[in-house]
Amino acid sequence: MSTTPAFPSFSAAGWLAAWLAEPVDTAGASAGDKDAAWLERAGRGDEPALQRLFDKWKLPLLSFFYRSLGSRVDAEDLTLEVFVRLHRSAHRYRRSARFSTFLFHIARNLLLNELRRRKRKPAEPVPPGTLEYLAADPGPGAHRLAELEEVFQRALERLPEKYRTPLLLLQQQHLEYPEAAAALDISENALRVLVHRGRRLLREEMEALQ
Amino acid sequence: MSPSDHDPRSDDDLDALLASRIKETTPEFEARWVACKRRLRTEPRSRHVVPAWAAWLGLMSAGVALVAILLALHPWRPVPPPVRNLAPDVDELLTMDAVLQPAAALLDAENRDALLNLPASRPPKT
Repeated sequence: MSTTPAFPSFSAAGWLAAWLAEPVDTAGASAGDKDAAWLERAGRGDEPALQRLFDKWKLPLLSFFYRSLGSRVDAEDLTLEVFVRLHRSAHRYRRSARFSTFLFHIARNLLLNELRRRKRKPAEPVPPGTLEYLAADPGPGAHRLAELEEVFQRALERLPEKYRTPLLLLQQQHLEYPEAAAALDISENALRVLVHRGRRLLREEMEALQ
Repeated sequence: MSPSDHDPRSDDDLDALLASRIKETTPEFEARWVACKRRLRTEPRSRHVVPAWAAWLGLMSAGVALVAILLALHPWRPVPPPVRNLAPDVDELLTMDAVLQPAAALLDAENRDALLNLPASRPPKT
């Protein structure tokens, strides 16, 4: 996959929604403030600031893209591309928008471009050992999840993107509903509907694949 | 336990699977990042990029202004007279009228009115 640099394509409505989005919790907001400060510094050419952002967000992005595409190679390409675009569009970031909203807005645009561009590719699943299953519970629960991994990943790939991405943003990335809705350019109510349907469809896909 | 023994509809398992993340990156990936960072370092930064909407607005304004200027400066040619399909005498009369129209009057206005009001033909003397 190529990583042709291009400027991120933001829809006006989406960016306005992100711009107007209010911080939802103080702790998250302060973490977002730090990220925002790093981004501003990165935009001024501060390389350690960019490195800090990379260190913090590389695994969340890698995981998001892997779950969406089923290929670690593609996930790595897109993760790097997110940081390239983040660096180039640092001056467009407004502090009133949560950093994670801004970041996943870029990530989702890249994902949609990739999904439009790519033909059906065979999945390249990673070994379950490379995924962190319940770090707090490395017992039988984690073992059971590792056994479900393959079916889960295949079912997730079968899920339409409009259902998959909201589930990942909320449950994998721990975005709040307003943040995720802003990143996806949809209302919170629409997001709740997508999440509800997405979970049901995901269960059905897993049952069908078992 | 095989996967088929387990009920995948468990909410907890689904949540845990959805929440799972990749644990670590590969050295190759980190090396690619270093190369990418180096490329970004040498890339000129554009601090003041015009927003897309402003660019479009500017382009459209420039287009409208250009069209207005072209319309204003266009050498509009007079509309050609319609093709006349008249009798030769009438056509000649109209041509003469057109030729004589810019000519200066030879008589002053009072005498010209008097001449114009003369009867066209006198009755013959008996």
